[in-house]
Amino acid sequence: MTVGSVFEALADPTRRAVVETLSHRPHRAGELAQKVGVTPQALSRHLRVLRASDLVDGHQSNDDYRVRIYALRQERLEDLRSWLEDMRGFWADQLVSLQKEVEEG
Amino acid sequence: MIVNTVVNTDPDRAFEIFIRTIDKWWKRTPRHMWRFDAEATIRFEGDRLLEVHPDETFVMGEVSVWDPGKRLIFSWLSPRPADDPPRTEVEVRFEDLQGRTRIVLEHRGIAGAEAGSTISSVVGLWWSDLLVGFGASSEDQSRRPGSTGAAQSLR
Repeated sequence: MTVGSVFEALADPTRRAVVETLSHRPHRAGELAQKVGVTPQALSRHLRVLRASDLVDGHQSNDDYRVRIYALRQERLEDLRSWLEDMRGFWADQLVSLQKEVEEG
Repeated sequence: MIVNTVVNTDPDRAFEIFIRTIDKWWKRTPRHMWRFDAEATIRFEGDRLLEVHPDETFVMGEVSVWDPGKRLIFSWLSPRPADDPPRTEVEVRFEDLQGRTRIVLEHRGIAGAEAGSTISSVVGLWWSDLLVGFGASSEDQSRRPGSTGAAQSLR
């Protein structure tokens, strides 16, 4: 599963709204659709994409097996963090090297 | 994400060194090369940034804005599309500090500025300084002035 798929998943405004809503706490599908302002059918389509990118996970509620609870997957957030950290380190090293070339080269 | 540094020369010379001596200062790392080889040549040629091996050449990126002494924008094509967004964008700005130059390098994602802010809010606020530039590329493309596409050849 790629960090690239996370960026693709977040290219859509509804999916961004879903992710931002879930960043506060897990939600039931119904309240998620209501907060984001889409029909349950539309939400279900977006959740499929988010689940395919492994950014969101759905599990049955302990209280009611008919209800699914959706949450962000912390592992994927860690993947994103480490990807960003890696890219930032890469570019910072390049600039340090460029600076040396400018001043000593 | 944005990284920057200040160098002790004017923007025209900083830009010129960035381009002309990239083979000297570019750090080769296995993770970010198409084929790792510390001896590979890195150079701008026409409107492309190339990784050149004796038997093979890879396009690392394609220049879309070439504004000497001011800024450079090129796409960043990931050699590891399984691990990265396949195509992102790098903008390098050369800001005049009265004889010195601040070089600001911004690596932007493919998903737009809003995606960048979503990522920064879910990944954690403490991370946001690194994420300022993530995104915006789609918006930039539409309002990019003088997107020449015709970067000058260096040779």
